[in-house]
Amino acid sequence: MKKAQAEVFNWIFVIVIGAVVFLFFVGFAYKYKDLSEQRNDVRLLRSVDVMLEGLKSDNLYNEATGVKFKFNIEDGDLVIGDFYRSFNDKIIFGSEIDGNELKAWIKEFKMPYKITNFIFLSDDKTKYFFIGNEGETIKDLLPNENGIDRFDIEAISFVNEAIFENNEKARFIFFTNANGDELREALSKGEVVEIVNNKITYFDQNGDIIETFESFNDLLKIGAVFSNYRNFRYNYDAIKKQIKNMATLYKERTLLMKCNGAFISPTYLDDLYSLNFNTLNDLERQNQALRNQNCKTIY
Amino acid sequence: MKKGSLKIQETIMVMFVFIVIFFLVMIIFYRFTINSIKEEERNYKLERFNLMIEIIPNMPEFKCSELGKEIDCVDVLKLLGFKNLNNEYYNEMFKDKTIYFEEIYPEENGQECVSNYFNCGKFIIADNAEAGLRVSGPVVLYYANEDEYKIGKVVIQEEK
Repeated sequence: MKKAQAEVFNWIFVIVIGAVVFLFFVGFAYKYKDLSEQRNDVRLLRSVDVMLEGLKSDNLYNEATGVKFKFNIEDGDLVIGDFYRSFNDKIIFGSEIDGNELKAWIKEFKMPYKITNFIFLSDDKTKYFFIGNEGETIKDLLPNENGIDRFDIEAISFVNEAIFENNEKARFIFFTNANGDELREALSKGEVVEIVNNKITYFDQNGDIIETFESFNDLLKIGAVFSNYRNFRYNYDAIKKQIKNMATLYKERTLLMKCNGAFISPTYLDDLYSLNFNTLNDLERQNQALRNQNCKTIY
Repeated sequence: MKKGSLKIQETIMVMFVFIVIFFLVMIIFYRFTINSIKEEERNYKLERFNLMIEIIPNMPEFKCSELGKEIDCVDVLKLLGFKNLNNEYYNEMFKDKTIYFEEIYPEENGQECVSNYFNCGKFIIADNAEAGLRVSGPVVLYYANEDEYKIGKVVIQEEK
């Protein structure tokens, strides 16, 4: 082999090997990034889980900071990357979480006995704009400390009064009929939900109604404040299913009970099973009457 | 063979060995990282499983209540009522679990209670795990008709 040929060969060899090593490094860097993300996802899931499990009593509010919180709530599950966490004993209301602070609030859902726990999740980058007077009633139900709202809520009269930073997400909650220019402007700025006369309505980007839900409890309205359509749709079905489950359970229990030798009528529980909430007060009265007769109560 | 060719072959060999070692180290490192992530996930699942011992007896489906206020005990009438549910929702929820409550004091009776709680002491909520993880803890069982409290345990098993 001549010297010149050897030199050319050397260069080709160096370039080929260099390219292989370079490609390997690039590939490895990507893989390692992926692995690091997976590790962070598991850790984040764990820390969010610890925080949510810490919410044991009714009306507790908790905040977590120190890490970047980025995850979704899909069909009742908390989804972080490839990992997810299902909750059997609670229903999670929220949308996409993406911020440096995670805010969580727990409320017992009773109809009239405890059905399940609701957890409302938000981050420090989401602003809630309440439009309309009834918003005050809902706002008063939300947690606050010394009069300062824990969630970032602002009551406004018109959408153009809404002020938020570019890196913030806006949710517009109309407590009056949302239509026309106001609705279009709100949709161009963020997500919109309308809560009027115990009806919860979600809109698509064109301002068309996606679906209207009957709200049979104020906590459902609060759920709509925090949730996007998909999550609310899932939760709404899950809640109805759970109301039916609990009504069946309490009915079975009632059939096993006696008060002063007589069986107890489970009629009102049948109503609850049929999602007829008009006799809720009757059920409460029946329960109280049993207590007055020194009998065991239905719930 | 000329000296130049020999040198080139030597360089190729050195590079080849270097690359093989390099790849091996990277593969080992990659596997090690994957395993540690899986280990972390396993630990997390184990933690979650251990938490079930607290979650299950506190579910409104089983927990005692009086005029809508929850009390720290497990309502035996609810356990019996739950058995009659045969509900798809709970079948799915407990699909890989075995869960049962059992009276241990003043009497221990491993006989399963089906439609009443006489001459028996075991209330099976789900029976879908043969072996695997197992955790158990004490509970207070409340018999509403007799207004009696007894000591029991809850046992939870989950397929690995």
